[in-house]
Amino acid sequence: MTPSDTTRAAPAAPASGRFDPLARALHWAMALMILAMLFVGAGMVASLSGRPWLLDLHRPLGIAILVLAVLRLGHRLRHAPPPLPASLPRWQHWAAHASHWMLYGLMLAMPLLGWAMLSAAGDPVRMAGDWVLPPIAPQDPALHAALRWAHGALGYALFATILVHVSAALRHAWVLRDGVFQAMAPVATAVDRHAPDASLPVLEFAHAVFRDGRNTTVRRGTRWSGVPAARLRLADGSLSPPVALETEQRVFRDLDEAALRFEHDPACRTPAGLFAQLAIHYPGFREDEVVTLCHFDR
Amino acid sequence: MTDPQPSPPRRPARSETHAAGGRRGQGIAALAGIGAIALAGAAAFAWTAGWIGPERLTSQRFLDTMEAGGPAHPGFRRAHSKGVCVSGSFTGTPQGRALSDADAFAGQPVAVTGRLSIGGGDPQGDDATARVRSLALQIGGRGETQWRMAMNSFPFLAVATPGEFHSQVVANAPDPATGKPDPEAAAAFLAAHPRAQAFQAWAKSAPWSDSWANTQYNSVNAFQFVAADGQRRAVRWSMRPQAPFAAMDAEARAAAGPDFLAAEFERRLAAGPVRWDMVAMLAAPGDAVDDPSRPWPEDREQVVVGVLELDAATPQATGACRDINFDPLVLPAGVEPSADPILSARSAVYARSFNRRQREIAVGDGDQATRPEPRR
Repeated sequence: MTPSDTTRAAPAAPASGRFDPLARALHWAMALMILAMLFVGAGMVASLSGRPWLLDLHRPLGIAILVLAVLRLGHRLRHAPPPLPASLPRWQHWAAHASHWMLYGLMLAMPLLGWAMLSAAGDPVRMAGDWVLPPIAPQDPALHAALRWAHGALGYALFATILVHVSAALRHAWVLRDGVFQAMAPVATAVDRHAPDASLPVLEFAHAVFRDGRNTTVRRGTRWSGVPAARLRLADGSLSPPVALETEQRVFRDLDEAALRFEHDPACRTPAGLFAQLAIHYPGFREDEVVTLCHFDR
Repeated sequence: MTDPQPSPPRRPARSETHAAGGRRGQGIAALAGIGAIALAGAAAFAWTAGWIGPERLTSQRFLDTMEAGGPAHPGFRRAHSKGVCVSGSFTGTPQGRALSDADAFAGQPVAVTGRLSIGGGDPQGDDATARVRSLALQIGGRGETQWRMAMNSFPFLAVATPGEFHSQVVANAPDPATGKPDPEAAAAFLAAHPRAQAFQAWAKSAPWSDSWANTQYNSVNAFQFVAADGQRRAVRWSMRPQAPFAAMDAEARAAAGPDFLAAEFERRLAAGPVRWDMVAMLAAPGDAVDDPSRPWPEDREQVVVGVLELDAATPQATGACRDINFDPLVLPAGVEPSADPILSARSAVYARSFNRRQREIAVGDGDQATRPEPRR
């Protein structure tokens, strides 16, 4: 995907190229909780000494993960993640999406399986003190045996998926340096100047011709409004170094030639010329629409 | 001026990803580092699960050792395999309420599901030769806070730690060559463990009663009672029978038949409920709270905290107790485990035993354990 002004049914990806703060907070909090949970689970089924306190931790932590996973799935469905870089081979796009949806599936399934398994065993699903969750499955040995097996097997599958996920993330961070890791990094990190930087949005151009000094480009709608920096797609297809953006929102019909005097495309330095181009690239474009003027220096 | 419709992704030339030639060596080092991190993660997980590293006494190994001690009986409990399901109620006393905030002591009768059994791993074992008798209880129902107990007729354990327990099972395991325990190994264990000698002395000298109903059952392990005001007391409790003790010697037991306990209990229930007083013994400073092989002096303060009443019994193959894991660490608020290492080990091994027998029932190997018994 490249940043585009076309309207889509899917939720918009953030122009910053990073996951939003809530998505990042959920990711890192759940990463810690789930890793702790997997080690607690593996340890408590083997240990003769640690099982009681590990189990007392395992149940409420699992339910907390379930609650956060539901929240996170809801957030994810409303907020598209930043796009993966176009430089990534198609199979890696596919693998990334498959593993992410597998992780979502497992972090929802594991707590539900655990809860159902305890229900089928007839055991109280104790959170703390006398707070016990209601059973969600009938007490039955065959059902319990199946759920117990699934809880263990999917736990191992979850750990294996996390190992692959972490390895891929570190490859993006240390080898590819393509901004994929920075997109989810807990804090914004310095961008590698040598590598393509997917953490900045890219301004695409139909006619990639520029003036010396100040340039202006006009975009439909408001999604470029307030974006502080971007890279330019140049005529040879490469990306420019980051440029600072200044943006202003205007209604198209209020634009005059003075406002457009730095338009990078000479054909668009009059309202009529600009409208002709906008109508080509944004079918149905009307004069009363809001546009965003993005100014940058070359 | 404007951006075009989204164009197919452009893949940058290789030189763009690896801007400088020297970056390739860096990339290989980074990949090696990533591989090492993934491997370390997998190894840490495998160690936690007990798959690698020095051999530890895990719940799996413990149960494997116990199962090696006799023929397999799929679908049955690995220990105390023979028993009957019972039900009734428990009613706490104000004295109990003062010691612990547990719901069971609130004063209202709480439903009880339980199991009376004999020691040993044979579901057809002979009642007449079973030195150990047991009572397991679940106070409270499904979806509620529960208190599970697994109590025994012996007053203390022969061992203090899971490691000693395991050694004892190994020392008494049948020799594959003879099919019988090696007397030298058993003697060597006894010689090295004075508390096991004390246990053997109890087994030889304590009189046998003629019924499950007039047997006292002891928690053996210690727990903490936590009162509403937060005060904590280390306790061991016993179910002290209201039915008077009646001794039964070996000759009379042998004459009574291999299943006399269940038959006698049913006859008794026909005449009315059977009751026990739950008596909590409070530890004094210096008492061995965390060592189940050391009983506390008999003069410790004892408090009647509740009354157990059993009014029905059903065969275990079809009874409610069959699918309950009487894990002594399923506890309500107001009761907490002590640091007794045997207690946490029981919880771990019971869970694994429960999982194994449930799986045997699930795959159809547990018919003996689930088929309704013919009426005696």
